[in-house]
Amino acid sequence: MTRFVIKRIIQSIPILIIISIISFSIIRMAPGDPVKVFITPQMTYEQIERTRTRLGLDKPIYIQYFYWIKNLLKGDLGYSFINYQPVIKLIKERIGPTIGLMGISMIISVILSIALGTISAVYKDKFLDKFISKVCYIGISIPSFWFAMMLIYTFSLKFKILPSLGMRSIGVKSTLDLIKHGIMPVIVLSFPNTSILTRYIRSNVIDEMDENYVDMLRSKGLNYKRILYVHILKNSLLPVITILGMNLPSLVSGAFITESIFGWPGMGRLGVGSIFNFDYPVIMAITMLSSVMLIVGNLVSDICYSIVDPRIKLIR
Amino acid sequence: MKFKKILVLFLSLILVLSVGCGEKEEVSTEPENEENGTNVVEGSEEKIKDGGMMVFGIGDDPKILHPFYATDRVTMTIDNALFDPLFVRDGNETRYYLAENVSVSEDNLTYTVKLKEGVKWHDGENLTADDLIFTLEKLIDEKQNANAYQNFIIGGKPISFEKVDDLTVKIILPEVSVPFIETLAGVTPIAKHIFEGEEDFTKSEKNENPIGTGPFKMKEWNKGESIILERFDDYHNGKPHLDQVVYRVVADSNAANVAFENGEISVRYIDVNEYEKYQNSNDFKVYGFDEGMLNYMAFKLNNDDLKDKKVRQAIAYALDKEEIIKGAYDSLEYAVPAYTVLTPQTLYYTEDVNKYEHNVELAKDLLKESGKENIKLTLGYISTSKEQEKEALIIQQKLKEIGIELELMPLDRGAFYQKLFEPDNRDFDLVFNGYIMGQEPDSYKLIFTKGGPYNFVGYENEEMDKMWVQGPMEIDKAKRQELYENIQKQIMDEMIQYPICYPKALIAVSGNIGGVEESKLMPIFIFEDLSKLYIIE
Amino acid sequence: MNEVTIKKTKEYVKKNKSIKIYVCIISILILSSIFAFLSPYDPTKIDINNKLVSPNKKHIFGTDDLGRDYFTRALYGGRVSLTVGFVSMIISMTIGTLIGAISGYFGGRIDSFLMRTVDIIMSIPSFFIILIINAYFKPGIASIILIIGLFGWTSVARIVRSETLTLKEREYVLCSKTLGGNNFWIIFRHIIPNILSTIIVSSTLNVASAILTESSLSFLGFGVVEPFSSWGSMLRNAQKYMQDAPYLAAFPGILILLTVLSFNVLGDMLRDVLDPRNIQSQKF
Repeated sequence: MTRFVIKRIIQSIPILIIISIISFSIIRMAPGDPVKVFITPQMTYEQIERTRTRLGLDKPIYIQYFYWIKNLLKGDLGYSFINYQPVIKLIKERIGPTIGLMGISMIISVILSIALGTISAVYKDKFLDKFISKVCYIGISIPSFWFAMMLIYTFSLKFKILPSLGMRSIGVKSTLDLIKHGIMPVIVLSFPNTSILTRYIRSNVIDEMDENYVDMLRSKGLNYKRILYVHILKNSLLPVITILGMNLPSLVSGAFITESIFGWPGMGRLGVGSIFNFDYPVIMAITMLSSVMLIVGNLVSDICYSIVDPRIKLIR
Repeated sequence: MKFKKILVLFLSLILVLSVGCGEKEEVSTEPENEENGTNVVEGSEEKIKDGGMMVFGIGDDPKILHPFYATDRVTMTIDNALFDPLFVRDGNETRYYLAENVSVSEDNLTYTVKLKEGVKWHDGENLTADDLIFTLEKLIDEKQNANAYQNFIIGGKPISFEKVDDLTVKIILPEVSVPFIETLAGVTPIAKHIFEGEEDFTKSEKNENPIGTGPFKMKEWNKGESIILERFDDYHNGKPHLDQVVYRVVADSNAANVAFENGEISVRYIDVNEYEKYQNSNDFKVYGFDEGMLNYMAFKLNNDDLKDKKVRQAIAYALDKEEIIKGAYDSLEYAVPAYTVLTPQTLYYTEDVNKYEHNVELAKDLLKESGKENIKLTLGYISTSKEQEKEALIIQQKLKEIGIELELMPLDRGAFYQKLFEPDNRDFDLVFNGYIMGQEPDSYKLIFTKGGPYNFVGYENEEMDKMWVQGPMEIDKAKRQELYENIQKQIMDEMIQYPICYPKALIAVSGNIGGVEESKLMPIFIFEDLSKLYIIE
Repeated sequence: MNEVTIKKTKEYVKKNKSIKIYVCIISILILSSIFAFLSPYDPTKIDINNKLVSPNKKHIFGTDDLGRDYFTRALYGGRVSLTVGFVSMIISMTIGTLIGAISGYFGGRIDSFLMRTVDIIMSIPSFFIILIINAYFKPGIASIILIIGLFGWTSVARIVRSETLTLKEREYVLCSKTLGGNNFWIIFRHIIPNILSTIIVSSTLNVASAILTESSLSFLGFGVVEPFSSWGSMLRNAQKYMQDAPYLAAFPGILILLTVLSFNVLGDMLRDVLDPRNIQSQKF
């Protein structure tokens, strides 16, 4: 097990390096000049060049990359070009709200989908199953930004029961307030995920129910409910693990559209904002962070697989 | 104009707002409702209630809360609440803030600034001449790279200054510069006891908790969420009425709209449609003021067709300015047609130029004379600007009439400015932009002289460049006037840019907010003096 | 189509009657976007005096903020959305099938190189895609098709690869190989035709996701350029008038939902009827 993990970690290093080289070049070779984002009319050519030198942009790309990776190894992600704050600090400020929002949506999705998926499978082709599956179709087909707009229109504009904006009211620091602000973004984010997962779990549970071992256990006189909850569900959770693993990067990269519609102070907005401002160090940091999370996610889901289903060996 | 006299303003830049339009003669302080007789509580009937808060919507966090480095609207707006300037020049009026008075010597070389007595920093220390000296030292310090650095270098030499007494500083210029008074007005002192010994101001931790002299001081900064300022009781202009001023980050314009209607935000830039809507509502008050802004369409001279003056003139004749404005801004009430490149507030503004009245036949003739055929052009603009989009669609139809095919290219704000200042960029040939350059015509040279930082069209004219150089050194007013009037005539004759309108900035304020007139409506940060705002009881 | 498939289809339709509705919706949308020009209105004709008119008999979807007939714009918008969906699907299916088949068929180094590439592309955070569009592309239909097509092939490649892995051990492939058949000929003659059902199902679901992606990108302003529109760009525009004219936001949103929904349902039907293996992983 430990050897497997170490091996995987070592394997992922070249991938990370390649990702960093590719994204670094894509960013730096883009037609655009970060210095120009914050020049003012009074500045002279020399002044602009001074800024460029200070940002380290006067050197060739490969040297810039070299510096960047050297600092990275020292744990220094550099300074934002826009407000000169350390990138680490910017990320620390924003990552909390994002992890909170994405994490809660993920947990809700998992719980709901296990429940709905199992119900759907047990009542296969009955009304309840058909109803759930219709709702799930909507969930995977609805444009999230439109869904968000409709929620805001209904709950903030028409009925005025939920705040449309931000993470908390000004000067209020209560949990209830936080929950009120979080309801709509969480719904928007978890609806599609819940739908996807429910569909998987449903079909997996149905498949498992047809497996031989179920009949065998039943013939041994085991309670059907027990079989369902313990044996079938356990095996049906594999896809959930994979999907969660693949969704792990969103914990740190956030969801740009939802965050900006609801004014949530998260990483998605930081990332896209840095793109528009050509804030290279921030872009690189977020890219690398989410790549690392993806690799970790895959690794964790592989390990979980082997725990849930010992038939799967940890080899690759 | 409290902070930066000169600001090339980019349309609906950082705040999620759309800007309305302008009325020419109106001074920036006159509220719209007085003319229209809308349902605003009369000043005398309003009862002032101390306390309460006012919430501004901002598009993103401010960048560095240090007055040296403000380049965007949000940062300038918040700086304005935290830091007071020496004084403000508004037309012929000068309003003093930290300075008690400023005197200029006969030879126009020595400026003596006397600071007000008893001005306190937010941490309780007194503002003294040492602070001002420190500020000036850092402004001319190349290493700090302050935005305004260049304004303090006159004729290649930095200004010098000396302390006269605890509250008086004498500033000596190396040579005469008429616009220097504007530069001086923009000086916002920073505290010596705070920043002394800081190596690089931009990276300083002190910017997270700025200490200024303004009516409100920093209380909390929740990144990506809000900035909460609280009342500064020792404010030199009298204790502010409001308890708190909050800047709330609203990245999405729809969200800002909803939040404003729900009362989660108390003031907002609005467009013409919204202006008309809120005008008839009891819950909101609307105001319009002149931002001193010009919206225009520029011709990029790296396009071969546009290099020909006749083609540019043909386009100008093909367009119907009033139709464009009516389409984009509903009526001429919110945007005044512009015929020259200076704004009416600028010194030596003249309308005595070629106005290019709509004339399709003339336009066609000019095109024929130029010998160009099958002209295809691309027009770049910011995709989030409704007004620009409407203008673009109308111009597209008009140019079709004279046989010019116009492709539209809406761009994201960031990409737009990137491309705009890319000298070799050929993605678009025509482009919408806007600017607020202040009342000093000298600042316009940045746009029209060779190598000027905002001369993105690539215009070169040696003869005119000489006139621009002569401008700030000319002390004789009549001669100066003639100079700048000639410049305007020439620019219009050459048709380097097609001025569209002077849009009026329109804002809506929650009905319970009073003191809007007293606080003076200003470009960029809306209220010049926040201490005057209050909640109506 | 063989008899089994026809029989299965009939059974499926009998069991899920609503499928007819979705097929109808898709057909209507496709037909109406093809025949959009029959509308009496010009989708780009500006009529300032007639702006923001609520839905009525003359303008069944009302008019937008420039007085353009919203129904006509929705028809033309549908044309754009569907075009983007189909064309980018073709791009990503072509790339994905080729790469997947080559990777699975040849195995070894080629396989691991191609699959690592897929891993890397899949690990690019979606915000990075916005960066690439923002920096390297002009907004427009062509760019958006290219972007969606170039980023949508990875999952297809994975599915096709795993199908190919099982197929290449089949007797007829092995036989063909020993008879000295050209590798690419085998891929095109034996492998791809045999995973056609997988490809068809993937394509259907791919159209759905491409339309959804297009709407998000257009909503962010990276899509179609005025005066043209897609449903996503119409929603972007409608955002501003949520209070005064909510119908501007309602119609394009419902259209996107219906279209994507129909393609998803159709894809599921095809999956059940054609019964390809391994298609599960498509949904990841």
